[in-house]
Amino acid sequence: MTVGHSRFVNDFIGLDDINWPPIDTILAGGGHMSEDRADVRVTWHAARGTVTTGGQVIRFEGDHDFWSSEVSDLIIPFTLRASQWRIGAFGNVARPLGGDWSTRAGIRADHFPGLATTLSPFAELSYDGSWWSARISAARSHQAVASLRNEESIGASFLAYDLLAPVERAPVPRNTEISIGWEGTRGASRLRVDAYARKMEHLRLPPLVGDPWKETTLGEPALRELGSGTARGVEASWSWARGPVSTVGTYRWSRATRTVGEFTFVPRFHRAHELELGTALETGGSTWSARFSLRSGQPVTPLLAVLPAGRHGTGETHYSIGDLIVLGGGYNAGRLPRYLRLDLGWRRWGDAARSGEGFVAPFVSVSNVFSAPNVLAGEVRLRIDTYDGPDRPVRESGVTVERSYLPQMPMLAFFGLEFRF
Amino acid sequence: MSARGLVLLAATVAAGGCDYVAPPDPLELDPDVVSIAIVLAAGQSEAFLLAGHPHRAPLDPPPDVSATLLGPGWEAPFSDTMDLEGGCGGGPTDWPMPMVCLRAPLPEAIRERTAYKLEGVSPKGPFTGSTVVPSAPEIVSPSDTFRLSATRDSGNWSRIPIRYRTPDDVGTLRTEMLAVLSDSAGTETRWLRVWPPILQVAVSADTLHIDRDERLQRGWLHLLGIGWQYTNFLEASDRHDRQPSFGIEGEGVYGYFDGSARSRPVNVIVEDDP
Repeated sequence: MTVGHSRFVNDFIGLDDINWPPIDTILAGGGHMSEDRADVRVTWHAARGTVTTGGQVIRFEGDHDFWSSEVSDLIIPFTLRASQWRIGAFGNVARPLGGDWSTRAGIRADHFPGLATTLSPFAELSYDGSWWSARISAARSHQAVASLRNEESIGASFLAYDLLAPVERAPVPRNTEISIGWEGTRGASRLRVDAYARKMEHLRLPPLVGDPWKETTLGEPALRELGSGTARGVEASWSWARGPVSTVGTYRWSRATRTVGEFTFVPRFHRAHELELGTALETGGSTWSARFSLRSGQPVTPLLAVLPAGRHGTGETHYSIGDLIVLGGGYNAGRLPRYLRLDLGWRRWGDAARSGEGFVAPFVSVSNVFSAPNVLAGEVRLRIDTYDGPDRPVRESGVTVERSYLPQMPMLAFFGLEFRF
Repeated sequence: MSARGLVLLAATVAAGGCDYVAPPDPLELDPDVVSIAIVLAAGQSEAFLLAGHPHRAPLDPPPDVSATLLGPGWEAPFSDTMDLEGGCGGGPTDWPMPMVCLRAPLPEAIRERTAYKLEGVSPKGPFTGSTVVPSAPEIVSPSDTFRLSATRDSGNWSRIPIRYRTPDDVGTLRTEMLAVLSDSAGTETRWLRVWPPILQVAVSADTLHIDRDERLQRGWLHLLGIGWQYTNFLEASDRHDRQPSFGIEGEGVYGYFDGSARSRPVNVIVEDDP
C-alpha cells in the first residue's frame, strides 16, 4: 500500500519588451497543481503465473490564476480552480509461455465522478533470450486532465513546464498505443530500439489562429475544442563504456499530427529527427564531457509573399503606409533551420578535492559552444524608423519589411564550485 | 557488440535517418513576385491598378505589367502611367517597394452589383481577375443632416452617433468625412480623420469620433463599402487553412481585385451653442 502527495507551485510575471529597463508588468500568474494518491496492490505468485490486483484513489486539483494587460496576447486572463477524483481498480496476469516467451495482460477500470467510467486494457508478449530481449504490446489509457499550454504559440517555447487542469466535461481524453521493442547487451555495449504508433483522442486543443505570434500561450481547457492527435516513431538508445571512457546516445525519428475541427496539421513542437550524443572521459582526477545535439528544425509556415494592402478609403489614404499581409503556404509545412548544439564540461574529482565524507569540486561548462542560433520561429514585420506622412514618400524614407528568426541562447559559460561537508 | 560495431551503427542511424541536407529557408521570398492592388470605385469612370515587386528594394525598377479591364460589353486597357503621389485609387503607394500605377479610362462609370474581369501579363506570366462591385452601404441615421456643436469634446473629438445598414456583399466598411475648413486665411476642403476608421459589418450602430479641426464649418460623412475579396485579403495573415479568393489568379501574382461603393452622404453642420 502506498500513500502519496505531490504539489507543484508556480508564479511568474512578464515585463514589457518595449522599454528598457521595462517599466510595466504585462503578465502575471501563478497557482498550483496537487495530487493526493492512495493505492493498494496485492500480488499472488502461483505456479502458472503471477496475478496482481489492486485499487487506487487519486484526487487531482488545479488552481490557476492568470492576468495580462491589453498589450499582451500571451494570455487571456482567467481564473480556474477545479478538482477531479479518479477511483480505479486494476488487475493483470503475467504468465510464462514456455521457453523464453512470456505474456502479460490486464485491465483497469476507472470511475471519474461526473464524467465517465472507462476501461483500459493492455497486453504484452515478450521474449527474453541470453543477451537480447524483445516485446510487443498494446495498451489503452485515460486521464481526466488537460494542459493549459497552447503548443502552437511562441510563448510555449519559453514556458519550461506544463500546467494541467482537470477535465470538467466528458469525454475523457484517451491514448491508444502499440509498441514493439528490442534490447541487447554485449559486454560493455547496450542497444535498445523501440517503435511505436499512438492515437490520442478527446484532447482539449485551442482553435488554430494560424500565426504562432498571435496564439495565446495559456488558456482554459473548458473553452477549447475536442481534438485528436497521432504519433509514430522509432527511438534508439545506446551506451558503451570501457575504462575511463563512456558514451551514451539516442536517436529519434517521429511523425506527429494534431487535428482541430476538420484541420489536421503537424504541431509546432515536432522535430522529425533528433540525435543526442554524450561522452565522458575520466582522467587525472578530472571528468571531461561533451554533449552533442543535432535536431531537425521545428515546423513553420513557409512564406509565399509579403504584401501591402491599401486602405482604399479616401480619409486615411495619404496618412498610412498600408497593412502588412503575410501569405503563407501550408500551415507548418516548412521547417526552421536545424538545431545544432555542442556543450563541453570539465569537473575536478581528484583526491585533493575530497575531504573525508565531504568534497569540493570545481566545474566549468560551456553550452552551445558554436553559438548556433537554433531558431524558435520566423517573424515578418514592418519596421518604421521614420515616416513623414504625405510629405515624403515612405519608399524614400526609413520603412522596411524585415524578416528575421528568433534565436535561442547564444554560447554561455558557467563556472561553479560544488561542495559537501 | 563491439565498440567498432556500435560506432558504425550509430553513424548509419545518423546518416540514414537524418535529412541533414539543409531544408529550404522558409523565410526566403521570390524576388520576382508581383503584387496587384485594384479596387473599382462605383460611380467613377476610371480605374487604377497598382503593381509592385514587394520583395525587391524600393529603388529597383517596377514590374512591367500590362492589363485590361473587361466590363459589361467593353474593354479598357490600363494605358496611362500615373504619378504615385496621386494615391492610385487608394492603393498602398507608400509601401517600400518598386511600383507603378496604371490608369484605365472607362467608357462608362463603374456600377454596383456588376461583374468585371481583369486580364493581364506580368513578368511571372499571365494573370486574371474577376469581381462583382458591391452594393452601397446605407446610413440610416442621421437621415440627412447632423448638427454639430461648436464646442468640442476633450481630446479635440466630436461625436456622431450613427446607425447603418451593410449589404451582404460588403466585407469592409470604412468611415470617411470630407470637410470644409474655413478661417480668415481662406477656405479649403479636406478629408478628416474619423474614428473608428472601420465599422463592424455585423452590427448596425456605433458612435463616430471626428478628429475636429477648429476651422470646421461643415462636411459630408459617408460610409465606403468594399467587397469580400479585399476583406479576405486583409485577413489572410491569420488564416491557417485554404485561403479564399482575393480576386486575382496567376502564377507568382498576389493581391486583390475588388470593388467599392459609397453611401449617400450625411451633411454635417457646425452650429454655435445657444
